[in-house]
Amino acid sequence: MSWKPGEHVELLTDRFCVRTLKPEDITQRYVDWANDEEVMEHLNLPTGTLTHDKLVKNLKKYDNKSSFNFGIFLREPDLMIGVHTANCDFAHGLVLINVMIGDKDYWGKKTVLEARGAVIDFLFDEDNFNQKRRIDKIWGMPFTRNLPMVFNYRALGFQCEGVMRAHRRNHKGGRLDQYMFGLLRSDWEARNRAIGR
Amino acid sequence: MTDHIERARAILASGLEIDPSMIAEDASILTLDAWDSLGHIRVITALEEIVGRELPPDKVAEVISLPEIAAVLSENE
Repeated sequence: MSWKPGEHVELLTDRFCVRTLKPEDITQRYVDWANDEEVMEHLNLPTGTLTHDKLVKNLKKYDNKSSFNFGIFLREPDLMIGVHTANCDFAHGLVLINVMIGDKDYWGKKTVLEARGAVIDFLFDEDNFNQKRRIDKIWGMPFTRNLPMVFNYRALGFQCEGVMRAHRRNHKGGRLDQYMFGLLRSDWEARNRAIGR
Repeated sequence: MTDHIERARAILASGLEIDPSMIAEDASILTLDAWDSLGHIRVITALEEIVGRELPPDKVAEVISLPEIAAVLSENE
């Protein structure tokens, strides 16, 4: 793909189109996910706090240069099923990622593996990020009892680099442990070799 | 260890809702197509019920293959 910093991103996989979210993508369907206890559980966010206006305003935080807010869309029909963010720290060649699949029909269907795989390829592609903007490592911090996300990180070749004990306040009370999962280029290459890619 | 492998295979087969014969001795989340995120919840939960406690996070992160499930069973003896 030919992409320049600041431009919209569009990544195609077998089932999905992962592309830069636009204000018109913030539909009632997305707002409903933010009000769904089951969807929000592992994000440690109370339901009802993310309104349409807040979600639209939130898009402004992402510049498509160092921060990305992707929608995960079915290729056919063009229906959003989730979102994926990536925030770059070019001083250290790092990217922090996060994902939410709102459409429960796509839970347990390897949706994150396919969509995130495209995001990882995009981030590690030196045609997109090179020299001072080169990405050497991608990392994420799921909560430790987010077992589906543990599966997703490990199945993509991320290594567990530690557990941060009681690292976040739980909005329901108490505190939550968080993993640090990291993916070096060499991890990604090894994972791809292992699956014959 | 053979016994642990067979018990691990049964846990994995039940969690992933597949026939045990489909699970190779070195099966992992990278190689076993039926292993998905919802199946992973069932596998970890079943394993925790058997060992009688919640597995620590560092252990949960390691349980991504049949041999590692067997190792948890072995360690629990």
